Amino acid sequence: MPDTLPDLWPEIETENVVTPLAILRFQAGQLRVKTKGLIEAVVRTEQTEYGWMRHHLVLIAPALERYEYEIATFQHAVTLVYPVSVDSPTENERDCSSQDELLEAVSKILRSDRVKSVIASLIAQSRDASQLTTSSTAK
Amino acid sequence: MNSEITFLFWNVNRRPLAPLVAEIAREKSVDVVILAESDGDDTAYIESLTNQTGHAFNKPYANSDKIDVFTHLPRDSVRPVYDHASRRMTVRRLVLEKTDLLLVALHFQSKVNWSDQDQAGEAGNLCREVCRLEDEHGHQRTIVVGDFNMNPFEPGMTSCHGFHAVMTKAIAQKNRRTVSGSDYRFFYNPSWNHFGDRTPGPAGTHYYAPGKPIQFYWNHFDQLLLRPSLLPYFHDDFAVLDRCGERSLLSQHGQPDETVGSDHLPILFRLQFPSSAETLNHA
Repeated sequence: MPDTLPDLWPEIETENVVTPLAILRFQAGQLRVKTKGLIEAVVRTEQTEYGWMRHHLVLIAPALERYEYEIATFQHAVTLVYPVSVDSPTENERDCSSQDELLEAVSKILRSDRVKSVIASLIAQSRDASQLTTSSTAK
Repeated sequence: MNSEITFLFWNVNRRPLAPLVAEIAREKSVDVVILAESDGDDTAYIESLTNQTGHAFNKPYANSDKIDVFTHLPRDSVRPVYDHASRRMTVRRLVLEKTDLLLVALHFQSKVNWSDQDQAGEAGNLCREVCRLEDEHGHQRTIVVGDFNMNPFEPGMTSCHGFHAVMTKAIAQKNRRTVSGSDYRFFYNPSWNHFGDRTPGPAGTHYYAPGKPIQFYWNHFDQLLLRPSLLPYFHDDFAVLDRCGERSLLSQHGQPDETVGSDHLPILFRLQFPSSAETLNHA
């Protein structure tokens, strides 16, 4: 046996590995700040019967009795965080095989015209609802 | 004395059917109109419905692309609860005088693109979402209506992993059953009563006859599902409509006539709630 055996492992990233759930939770957390509390986003996670983790990225309008608009669904095997299957009308269905691909897909979804327009409409409706509540309380 | 609420659902196949929908709404005293595959001309629908019925119809706020809801109830009576960017389902809260309901309206993926297994899997996803919303709202007074693109006997409709919708009230009134240690809620599906010749209306809501070995010809894709807690207020008032006034929605061959209406027939249903003097069973 030789004195030294070769290390056959590839380079393994240990510092910057982020799960899809962490990526989605971070993005969700930013929305409340960006909309001054008018709109929130949450990630709802479920484990399906067939061994999949499914994360739902959902907008919530607190002033509209917590109306929910689900932006996209992300699914991966319980035992593997990548690839992630992304289901959203802006991205159709695609598999992201890495963190970078997922970040790119999430960015496209959040910056899509549809999502921007829904957020704008939720803000306007929330402001109306808050004003109605304020004026009825004032009476 | 009861207070009634009447619903019309129709997949209008992108045809400009506002005048016809409005005529049905007037004839049947419809309170809530739910459309799939609308041509997107909301103004035409609101104007036609208002002019025909004499009630000021509006389109309550929501972000559902695939389903449109119009009502003459106060705008605040139909509140948005849940929409999904790609799912073809919208959930609203109907706030009535003595109670409130969850109204789930959907247009399920077509068999052209999805297999029966695809549909069954997605039915389970949607039904889990409905259960979650019921839990959040603290009741199961839920109506699901729409174009399911499945027949009432298909796995997506009947399986406990799908909509779990059964054919008799007696079974539905058991509320739930346990399968492999998990509890599943029942829906009642009155469409089971409307198949074939021995029904008051047509044999289905959609006619389709490609040349393949198994062929039903008539399909009941457009269905109503009710949770058992709404059964005391449902007196079998469910119909597949094949006429509007003197006008038939069927061709001379007895199939949906797309030159008059749509390739689907509309469904109409009514719930009757007790007057304010009585107590609602808020199961």
